[in-house]
Amino acid sequence: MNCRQCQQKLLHSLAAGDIPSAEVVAHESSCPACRKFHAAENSLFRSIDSGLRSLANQPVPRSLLPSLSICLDEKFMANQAPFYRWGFTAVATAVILAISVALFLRRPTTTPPASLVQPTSPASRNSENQAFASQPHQELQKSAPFAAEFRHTARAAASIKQPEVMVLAEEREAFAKFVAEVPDEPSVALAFAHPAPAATSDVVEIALLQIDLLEVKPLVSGATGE
Amino acid sequence: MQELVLIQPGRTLEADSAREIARSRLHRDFESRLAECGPLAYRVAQGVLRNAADAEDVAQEALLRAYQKFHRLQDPTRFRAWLVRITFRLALDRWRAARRRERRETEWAKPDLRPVPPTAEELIASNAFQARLERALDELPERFRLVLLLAAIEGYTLEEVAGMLKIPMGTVKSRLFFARRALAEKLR
Repeated sequence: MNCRQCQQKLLHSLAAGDIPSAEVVAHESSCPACRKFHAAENSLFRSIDSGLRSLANQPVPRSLLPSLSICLDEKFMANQAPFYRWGFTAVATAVILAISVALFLRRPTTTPPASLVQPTSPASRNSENQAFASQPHQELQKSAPFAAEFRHTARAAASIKQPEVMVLAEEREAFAKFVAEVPDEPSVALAFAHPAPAATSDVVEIALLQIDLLEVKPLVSGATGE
Repeated sequence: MQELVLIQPGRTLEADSAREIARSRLHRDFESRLAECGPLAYRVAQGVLRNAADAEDVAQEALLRAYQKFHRLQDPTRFRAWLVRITFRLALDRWRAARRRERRETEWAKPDLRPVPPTAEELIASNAFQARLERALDELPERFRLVLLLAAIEGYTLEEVAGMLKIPMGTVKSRLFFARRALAEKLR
């Protein structure tokens, strides 16, 4: 083995990180120039290795992991935000629905019994039904939703005001029946209450039922209807 | 009155909660890997950029990208390899951008303001060799640089490096060999 071959093999083993072969070691023992070359190259490769190690193993900043955790948590929460939004919407909808159902169930659905006369106040009916009182009779008859609306309004007014109407004892039952029918058949009741026109060809004008002479007073516990 | 209820088509509460549980599990899984993979990403970035602040930025960005696509990772054992590649790519992009910027600034600067080439005395200084090494490293092909950096990071064997880069062990060794030889030639 000559010096050139020895140095090439030496470089190969140093670059590969291997131990030099016995052949190279034997040549070096008898060749000072190759020994010197080996020492220089060995120093160079050691410097390269230590330089690479110092480059690759820089101390990691302490702020890296905490700041990363914060960033990840923010990302996680941002991804979760739609869920919370929908969750809130679902809860809000459920609450609204529950309140609506509760109000619907508490609404009075039957006509008042004849024994307990609690008619709606004409005054409150006046104010609540002012808008449709001036409409023509035919339109009222055709409009089923209107009748339902009227019933609903009358019942609502009755449940809120609860006035007591002074009625003669012998007219009490008839009055109760009449009042009970008014919300169900508004147009018939209103037409019945209104004086008929003299001529049959005249147009019937529907006006709101008004009982001006009734004395209305607040309901007191234990008081009779007379 | 009509109630308006917002309903997302095709979504149910069960599916949502299952998705949330899966997402929480992925989040915990990812966080458990941070202690090991955070420093690895930083060191890869630092090896390319050689600037602590830039390396931290790149490591953070790489980890955030990895987090956003973590659910797509089919094989969790490949996470380190995946993260190393993301970090290396990002670091290289930043390094190239910095070099372009540097070149532009050098071209615009007056000749007398340009840095003076290092003298022999300066090269003898303790950090001169490191500076030369870093320059030589920058001139190496990317595949050699990455292998050199990963092999130099403490705590990783060549087998682990091969696993990170998804290449055979023999390829890692041959790349290391050529990279070291090229570095030695540049520094000799």
